[in-house]
Amino acid sequence: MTAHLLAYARIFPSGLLSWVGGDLTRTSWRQLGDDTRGPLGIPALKARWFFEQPHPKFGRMDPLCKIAVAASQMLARALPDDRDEVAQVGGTMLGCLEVDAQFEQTRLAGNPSPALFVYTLPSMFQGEVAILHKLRGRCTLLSAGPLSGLTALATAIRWIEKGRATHVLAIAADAAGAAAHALTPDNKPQSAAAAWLLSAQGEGPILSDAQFGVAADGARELKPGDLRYGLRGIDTLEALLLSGETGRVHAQGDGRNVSFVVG
Amino acid sequence: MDIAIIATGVAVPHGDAMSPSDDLWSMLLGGQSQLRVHAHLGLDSPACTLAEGFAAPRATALAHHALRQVIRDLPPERAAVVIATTKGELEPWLAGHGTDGLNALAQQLADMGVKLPPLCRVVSNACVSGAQALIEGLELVADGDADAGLVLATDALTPFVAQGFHSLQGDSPTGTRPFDATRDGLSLGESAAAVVLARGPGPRVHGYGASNDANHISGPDRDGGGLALAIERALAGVDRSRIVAICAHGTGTVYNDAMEARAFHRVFGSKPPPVFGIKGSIGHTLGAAGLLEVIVSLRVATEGVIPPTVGYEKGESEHPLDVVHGKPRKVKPGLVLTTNSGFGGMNTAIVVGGGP
Repeated sequence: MTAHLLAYARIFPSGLLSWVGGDLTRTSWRQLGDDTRGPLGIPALKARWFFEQPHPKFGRMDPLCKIAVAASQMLARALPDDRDEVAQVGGTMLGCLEVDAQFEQTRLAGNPSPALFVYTLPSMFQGEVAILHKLRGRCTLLSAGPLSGLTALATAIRWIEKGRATHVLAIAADAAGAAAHALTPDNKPQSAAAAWLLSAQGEGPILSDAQFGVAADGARELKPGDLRYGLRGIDTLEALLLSGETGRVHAQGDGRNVSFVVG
Repeated sequence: MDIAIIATGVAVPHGDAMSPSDDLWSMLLGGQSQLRVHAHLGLDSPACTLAEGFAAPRATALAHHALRQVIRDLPPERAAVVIATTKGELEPWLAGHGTDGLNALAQQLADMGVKLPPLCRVVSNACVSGAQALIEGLELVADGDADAGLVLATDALTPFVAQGFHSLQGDSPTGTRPFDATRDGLSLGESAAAVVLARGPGPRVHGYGASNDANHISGPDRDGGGLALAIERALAGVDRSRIVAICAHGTGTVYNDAMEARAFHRVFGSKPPPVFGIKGSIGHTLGAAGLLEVIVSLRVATEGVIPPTVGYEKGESEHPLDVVHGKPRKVKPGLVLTTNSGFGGMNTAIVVGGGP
C-alpha cells in the first residue's frame, strides 16, 4: 500500500496555506483583516475565516483546539464520504499548556472552571476534529519533543502502508503563549498547525517508507526552519513538497530520528 | 502477532506504600477497596492515592516503581519506549519549575538513572492512553522499528485533576459503583503500569481496535456505537467463543456504564460474557488505567479467575450484564476483552490471553 497526499493545510505565523484538489491558496493575515500578533504569536483566530456558517463552539475552544480545528477545516472538502475509516494521528509537544494554566488560575481562585477543564487534555483537539468532520477511525496523539509533528506524519504514512487505515488525517499543532514562556524565557509565543490528509488511493504526491529511531544515511536533512516546539522542520518539508523535489528526507532532535521518502 | 508480553509491573497505592502486581491481584480477588477521603485533594469524595506529603514528581515515582519490576526483563537489543499519560508530570510545572508536563516524564526518568533509547515517545489520549500506548508499542515491534518494546503508563492524582472532575460533577460523593443501578459517578485513583514486549511465545494481545465516537467532547456516544466499532475491530480474526470475560472501563458514571452495556449487547447479543471492573477497588487511574487493566485481564485469562467488581450490588434491567460481584468467579482460561473510553470520544478494545 502507498500513501498519497490528498490535501495539505497549515496555519503558520507567516500566514495560511492550503493545497486541496490541486489548488494552492496562500492567505496572508493582512488579507484576513488582522495581522496583529496576539499573545499566542499569531492573530486571534476567528471562526468566520474558516467556516461559512456560524460556529459558536469555536470561540469556546482552547487555543490548541482552535488552531488544529481550523487547519482541519481548511482541507475538509478533500475528506472522503465514508468517514468511519478516517483515522487521526496528532503530534504536539506542549499539548494544552495554555489552558492548563488558565484552569489552574480558576482552581486557585476557588472556582475551578468546568468549561476550561474539559480542554486540559492534549488530545481534545482530535475529539473536536472528529466531531466536526464525523471521523470514527482510530486515533492517537504522539508527543516526541521537537519532532512531534514529523513523527505524527510518519506514523500516518506507516498506517496507510501497513493497511491500518484507508485515510489518515495527521495534524501537528502547538499553541505557545504565556504559559510556555513561563517555562523558560527562551520560549517565545508562537502557534502553528499543519494538517495532511493521506490516502491509500489517489493521485497526489507519494510519501513512503517511514523510519523511526535510526539515522538515515544519505537522506536530505530537514533543517529546523522557523517553527518551534513540536513543529520543527514542518516549514522546510512544506517547501520541499511544493517544489516537487523527491527523495528521502530526515530530521533529528533530542536524540530522536524520523525519516521518510517523498515522491 | 508473534509478540509476547514477557514482563509486567504495576504501582498502585496501598495504604502508605505502593503495591506491585501480586498485591494488586490479592486486593482485587479479596474485593478490597482502597478508596478513602484525602484532605490534600480538597474534596470530600473518596479517591485512591498515596498519603499526603509523598514527594513530587509523583507521576515519575509511580512510573519508576512499575519500571523497576520489569527493567531487568527488557532485552538489550534495540528497544522502543512508549509512555502513556494524560497530564504527565504536572505538579512541578504548576509549581513554576520543570519542563512541560508531557515531556517532563522522560526527562525525570533520565534524571533517576533510567537510560531511555532514542525511539521514545509519549501517547496522550485521555483515558485510553494506556491501551493506546500498548497498541503503539506492539506496532513498533511488529513493524521492525524495535526488537522489544517497553510500554509505561502513569498518572498522578493531583488537586488539579480531582477538582477538575469535581467541577464537572463527575465524582461520586460516596465511592464509585460500576454498573450498579444506583451509581452516581467515578472515583479517581493514581497508578503506573509497565509491560515488556518481545517476539516469542507467551501471553499476548490477540486483537485490538480503536475508534472515535465523533459525538461529544466529554460525554460518551449514548448508543454505544463508537465503542462497538472498536470492539468489532479488535475481534476481527478472534474466535469470540474463547472470550471468557470482559474487563470493562466501568467508571461508575451513569452514562459511561450505560454506553458500555449497550456496546456489549450490540456486539455479543443479549448475553455478553461476564463483565468485571477494577475501578471500585483502586479508582479510575486515567492514563494508566488501560494498561493496568490489560495486565489484570491477562491474569484473568491465564488463571481463569475473575475478580469481583467492588461497589456493584444490583444492575439495570435495560441491557443487563452478568457483572461478577461479591466473590471471585472461576472460568476456563481463555481470552479476555478489555475496553476503555475517554474524553474526546476515544475508544479502545484489546483482547488478551495466553499463547495460541
